[in-house]
Amino acid sequence: MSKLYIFGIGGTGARVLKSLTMLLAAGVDCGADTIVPIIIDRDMSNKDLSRTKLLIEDYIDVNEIAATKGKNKFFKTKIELLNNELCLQLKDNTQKFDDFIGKSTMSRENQALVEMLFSEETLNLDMTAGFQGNPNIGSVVLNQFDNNDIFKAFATDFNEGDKIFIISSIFGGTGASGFPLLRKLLQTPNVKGADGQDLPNWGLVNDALAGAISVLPYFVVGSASDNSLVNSDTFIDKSRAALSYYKTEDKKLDTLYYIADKRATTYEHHKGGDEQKNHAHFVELASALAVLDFVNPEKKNINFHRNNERKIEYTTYKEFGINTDATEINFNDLADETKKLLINPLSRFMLFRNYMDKVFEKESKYQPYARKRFNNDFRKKETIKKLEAVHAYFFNWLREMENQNRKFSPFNLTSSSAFDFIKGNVNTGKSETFSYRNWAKVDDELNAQIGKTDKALKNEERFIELFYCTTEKLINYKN
Amino acid sequence: MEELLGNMYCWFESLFGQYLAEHLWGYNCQTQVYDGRNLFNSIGILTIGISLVFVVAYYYLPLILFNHPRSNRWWNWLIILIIAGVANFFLAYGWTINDFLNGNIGDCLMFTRDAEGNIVSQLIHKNDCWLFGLSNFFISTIFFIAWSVILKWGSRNCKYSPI
Repeated sequence: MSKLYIFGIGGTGARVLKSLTMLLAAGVDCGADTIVPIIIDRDMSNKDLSRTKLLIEDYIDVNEIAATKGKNKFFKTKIELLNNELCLQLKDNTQKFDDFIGKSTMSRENQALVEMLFSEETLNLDMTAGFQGNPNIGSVVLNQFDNNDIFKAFATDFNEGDKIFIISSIFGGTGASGFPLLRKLLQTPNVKGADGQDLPNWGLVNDALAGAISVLPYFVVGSASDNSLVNSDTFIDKSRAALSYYKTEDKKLDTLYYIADKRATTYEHHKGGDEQKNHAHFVELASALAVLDFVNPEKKNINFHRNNERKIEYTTYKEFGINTDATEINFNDLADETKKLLINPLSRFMLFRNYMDKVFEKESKYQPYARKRFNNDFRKKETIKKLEAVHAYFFNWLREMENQNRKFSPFNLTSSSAFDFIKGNVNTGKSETFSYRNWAKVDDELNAQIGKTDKALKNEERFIELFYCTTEKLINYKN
Repeated sequence: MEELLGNMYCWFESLFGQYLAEHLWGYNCQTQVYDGRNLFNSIGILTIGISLVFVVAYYYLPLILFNHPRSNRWWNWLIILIIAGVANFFLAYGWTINDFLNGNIGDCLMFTRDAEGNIVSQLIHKNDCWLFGLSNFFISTIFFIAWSVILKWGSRNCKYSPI
């Protein structure tokens, strides 16, 4: 039972975790049995984070009813929260940076030094909305990870064979500063917790296989309408500066992934908080694939190079690419390996979502598969409501990716057809027959599969198992 | 057992009349015994067969209107029942009207004659053939329901149709 602990730092960290959760809900293969996400962000009110939190909470509830005995892959990978918390809440809530560093209590000489290092704007920055693209203050403020209950829970929970992955952006504030700090802390021996005691299992944490993805610029922001310090003109310079520092990280991580997109979308300018709600982007999905690549058992010999003393011999660097520089990406534009990974799970989950959205209400009264099992109040059950909430998030996630400059548009989202919703020349097998067409074919397969599902499963478990087996039968892409 | 079907048809004898029933039982006017072919059995077996064909088609044939996920409503089953019933209606009507028109029905069952042999009254009318067709519609319905109860459980898409 191996676990993968994923630290998602800043807004990008939260959005990549959202994409990863979508992939896991759809049943993309994951080499870890359990994912433990930990989001590190100073800006706890940002909408990207709260949307990810809602999604993960719903996923966890649905995972409880995802059958593990049968063939089902939807929601199969367990997501676990440490202390029932997704976010690593920094204990210090000082709002202004100069208060945080205690500038007013410093000697005159030290105050002068601080004023040399930080601009007045930076010193007066309200940090409740994050570091607003200032890694120089992030690296000061975030130096308190270990002084945290979640961090202790992380160490206590950690076991031999567990892995660590860090997601951060390189062009903002929180991610760029948090990543090297966190990496360093995780590999520092004998770290003490808030109570002054050594953190348990820390030796295992120090030696754990560790990977990271550093997300380079893939969006820009419009001009500021408030007093925000975020300026996308500096994204490239900041990335360059950070990358030159990251050179020193060589041989400190097993695998380091980089990703970027030159065709950047312009987002509305928000310094953070409730208004920071960036649309999902294909880069975040590809970043989530990096996480899956890292734990892929078939890639073990490529991703990890350790000597007999478990020291890293060299870091594997990876990038993600697509076949063509298309402005609108569909499955055809992806490399074979990515196609193999994504087409079946995403299409099957989409079919499941579409059926629930367009057909289930009407047909559950009549179809034998639903009779006395999934009709009447079945849809009002909490777990089923949450399953449908994840379906809705999934659909919105796809729609958001479609509304970017670089669109990821694998499906025709307005299609009311059961099978013609997959764009491009993707052969998912012939499902329709002369007799059964469109949604009738799906109902026919549901009616056929219900007898093959395990009767010992709980009703909700059987429901997910049934839909997995049915969609697997109907959509079967082979490379 | 030989008389089972005839007895069932006789539940509706008041519709098609005693004389047509006698003909169908195989009454021979010359020998004055029932040594003719029992047409209740012949028509009944065909009726059972036709009902069975429609029921099997409805529950197992993968075609629209039959074993199809959009045909598992009670009214679809009712439509098939009516189609089977109408087919059997015409089977029974056709059989008896054929006998009626071709003089296959014994004279003693067709007419009442006086001492000179003149027809006093007609005992079987064309209308009785229609009403026998209607009776067969009801018999068809009974067997359609019976076959449905027995066979529906193996159907993929219609096992809960009509209920």
